[in-house]
Amino acid sequence: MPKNPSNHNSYHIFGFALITIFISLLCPTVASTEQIFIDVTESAGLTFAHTDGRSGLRLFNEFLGSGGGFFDYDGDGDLDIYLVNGAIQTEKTQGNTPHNVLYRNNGDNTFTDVTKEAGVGSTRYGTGATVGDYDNDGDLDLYLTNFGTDELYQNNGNGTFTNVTDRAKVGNPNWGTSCAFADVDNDGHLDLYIANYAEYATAHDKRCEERGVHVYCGPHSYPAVHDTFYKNNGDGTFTDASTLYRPADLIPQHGLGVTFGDYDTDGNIDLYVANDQDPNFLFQNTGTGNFLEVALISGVCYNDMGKEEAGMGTDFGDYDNDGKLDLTVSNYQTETNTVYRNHDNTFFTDNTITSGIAEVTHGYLGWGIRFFDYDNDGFQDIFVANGHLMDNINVLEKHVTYPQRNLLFRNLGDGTFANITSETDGLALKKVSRGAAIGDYDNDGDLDILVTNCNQRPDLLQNAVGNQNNWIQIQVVGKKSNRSGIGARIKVVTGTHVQYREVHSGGSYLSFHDLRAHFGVGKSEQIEIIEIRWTNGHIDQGIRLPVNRRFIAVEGEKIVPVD
Amino acid sequence: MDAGYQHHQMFAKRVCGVLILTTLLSLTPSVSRTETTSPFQEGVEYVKLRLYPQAVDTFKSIVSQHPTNVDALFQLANVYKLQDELELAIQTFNKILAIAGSKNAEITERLYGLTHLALSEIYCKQSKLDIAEQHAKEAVQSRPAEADTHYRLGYIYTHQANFDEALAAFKRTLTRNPDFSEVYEWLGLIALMRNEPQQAVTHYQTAIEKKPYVQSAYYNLAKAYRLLGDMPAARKQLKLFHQMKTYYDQTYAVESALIEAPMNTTLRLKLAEIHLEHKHISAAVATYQALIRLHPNLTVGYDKLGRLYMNLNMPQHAIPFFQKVLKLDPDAVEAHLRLGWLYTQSKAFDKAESHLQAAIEKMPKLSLAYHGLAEIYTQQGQLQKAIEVYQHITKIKPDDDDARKALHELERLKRSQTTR
Repeated sequence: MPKNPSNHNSYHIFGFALITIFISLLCPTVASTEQIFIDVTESAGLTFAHTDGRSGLRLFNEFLGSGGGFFDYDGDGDLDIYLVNGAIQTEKTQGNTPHNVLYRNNGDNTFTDVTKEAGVGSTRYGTGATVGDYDNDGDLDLYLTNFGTDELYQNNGNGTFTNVTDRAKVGNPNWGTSCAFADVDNDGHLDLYIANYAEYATAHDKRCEERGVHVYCGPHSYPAVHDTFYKNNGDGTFTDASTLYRPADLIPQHGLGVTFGDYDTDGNIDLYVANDQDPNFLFQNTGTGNFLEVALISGVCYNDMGKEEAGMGTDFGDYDNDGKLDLTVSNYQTETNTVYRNHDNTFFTDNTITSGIAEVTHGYLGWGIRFFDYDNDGFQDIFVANGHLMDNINVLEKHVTYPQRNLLFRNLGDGTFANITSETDGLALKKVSRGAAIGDYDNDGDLDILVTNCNQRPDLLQNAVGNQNNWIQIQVVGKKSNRSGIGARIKVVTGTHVQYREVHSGGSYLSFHDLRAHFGVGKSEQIEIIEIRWTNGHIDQGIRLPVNRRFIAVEGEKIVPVD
Repeated sequence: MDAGYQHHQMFAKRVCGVLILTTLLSLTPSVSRTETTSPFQEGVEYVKLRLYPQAVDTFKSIVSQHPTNVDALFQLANVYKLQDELELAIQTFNKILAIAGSKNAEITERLYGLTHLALSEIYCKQSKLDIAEQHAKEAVQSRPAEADTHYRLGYIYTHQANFDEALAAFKRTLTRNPDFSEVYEWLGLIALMRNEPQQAVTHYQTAIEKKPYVQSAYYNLAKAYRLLGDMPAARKQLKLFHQMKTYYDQTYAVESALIEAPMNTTLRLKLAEIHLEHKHISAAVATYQALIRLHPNLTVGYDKLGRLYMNLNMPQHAIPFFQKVLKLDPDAVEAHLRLGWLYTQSKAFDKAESHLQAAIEKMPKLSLAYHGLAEIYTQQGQLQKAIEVYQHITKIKPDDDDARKALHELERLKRSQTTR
């Protein structure tokens, strides 16, 4: 009779040894003690604490969490932070009412809460947010999705905002989740897409159980509603063009993740929507005032079993530097996150397994997800914010926890990624994470991470290694194109790499990111070419530029260093 | 009660297949209701019917009396696994391995191998592929002739992107069972991942040929055609994929509801109808059989199965089910009618006549029964008797055109016979 491996210590030791070897193989460049990201939340002064309004009733709108992101609201050259909050739903609030928070970057690695003076402390039950200069006045405006009417805050350019929701006619009444600005019709004005989740009211909440345990209901417990698309009229108002733009026969799904990107490189920005337990959408922009939904024929509708998954977050990014936007989607635990590689601008191959992310992500429930080059080596890596949806998951599945670690996958440059989530630094935090935003808040030349967590403080993770390689950042300013430069496609050529980025206002999950395009260029000492294709088709170019500098590119003008 | 957020994954085959269930159940002889049923067999029957709480109680009871009864432990662990109680399943499977490790215990090599196989499946589901691999290797070592064990290894290697090892394991699987359709799907997927679309097409076509009711094969076949640049073929497969997906989604919805209400007759009938709608006959038969096992005194299951076989033109299979209907409900006129028809088809005219007469006895104006009788007499060459029956039909149902036409035809035939 063979020995029973499970009942012998030798097995566990053997298993442990295998795991250790496995991990060491996956971490060829990172020493176990190296700090990659440092949790600086406390020292930065981010005291914000999120609430999902936990009622004990497991109301359906409690689990999605809230997002946030980086943006330079005061135009002083460093990134500020905005954080969205939930609300108490079942009782009158005692003491301070939960509200959203704006932190101004003091420029010394600390932040100051300026919510009150800025006038952006919404007390609604908030979910997502995005930024963009919708009125082309040179500052970034803020759009918030809520469980309830969404809100648009116009930046007054003096450190304050005005709620212009009604005036702008963008008060999406549905339960909005992720949202993003983009100039869909290339008229120089930012339009707005909002994913909507479900038709739900707390008064009609249902009780759901699984194996006798009270759990949060699944999305199909409540009907889906169509997403919302607002077309910018160019006069400070928008028109709800949802029905004009979407295919007439489109079935509404439970929308969560939104990312714009010109995947077919035809100059019209397209859109991908991750839906929860529903087929995902790929909206191909025809350039003639509508979208075609082409997810199925393009290979990005389902997983490789032809089954819909619980799509949460999503992001477009060119991880293989071939000039075509690839796609990633975060999904539920026991589903893998997905990496779709853009094959020929019309079709994506599912590279989840071959990319090396399948095995690891299968064990996590993913939300915020983003391509970014954390180590400035010229290849975009992936960060994923994780956390289970059910606070009592451990009752049903002993091996699964509510708080979970986030994941960092290093792009090895050969189409594969290695999980380098370290045990020793800010990536070791186990929380109930939701949103993830990327940006260089300390202007030190590498990308930092902001993670939003359910019922917990956020995490500001400072990148400690990225600037060991060279980099550049480019802030694009449109003139004929939209002022934020959203949708601009930037090509950077060095001696070793050709890289592409598009400026996007959304992506990930409920979050928004540094609008400056960041390029890691490894050990290259010079940028050979920077080429910017604006949304109106105009191309600007700069040649032989220095590294480790921040540039400003005004449409039609010379690309120049910021300082 | 609404299903929770996790519910949708209950049937997901994405990570761990359900192949082992069939294997496990085949370990024990099938239960016949006419035999004395042991508690063990009863437990197995509960598992087959997805009455998991009852199955757990049954096997627990056996184990409490016989703690080293590895067969009962195995079944108990398996039920935990099916209920997604994975930690309990692991603990229980490990008990079997502990017993196997003790000196005095007897455990068959087969059970030992299946235990490792089950553990491997669970660890796959828990995203612990390294441990799953160890168990799968143990299973292979213990049961090298079993295709399932090699398949599991191939599955794990595929998900580890270790394609050479996966291909070798799948090759071994097919050597042992060339009809293992899932293997062709994985071979197709590996080919897709290696950007070998032509090979993927071949594998998926084989998979579909062997098992036509799996949506993923059509989906991935479409992707392979897409990579080959053959858009019409891709669109055709996507259309088929949609049909299969609709079928899957419909059955999934009913099966989910059945987990909450396993005794619900309407749901089982609906499930069978969905199978029939998609011409998945074996699945429909299995669903009706499950209904019969759950409700042996309800006629509807027998009746549905009898009709199904009747429609398939398999009278010998259909007859016993209608006989069972009559046993349970001697007044079931329709069963008499159908038996009359079936026996007529089989040229067993005496039996046919007897059933039709029985139907007439219960419903003297049942014209269909008279039609059956007339048919019997006609086939036997008893034209006068047949004419008399048709004449009777026209009396009790004057507007029966079929009877009138038949009567006219028979009278003409009789006249021609007399003339000759």
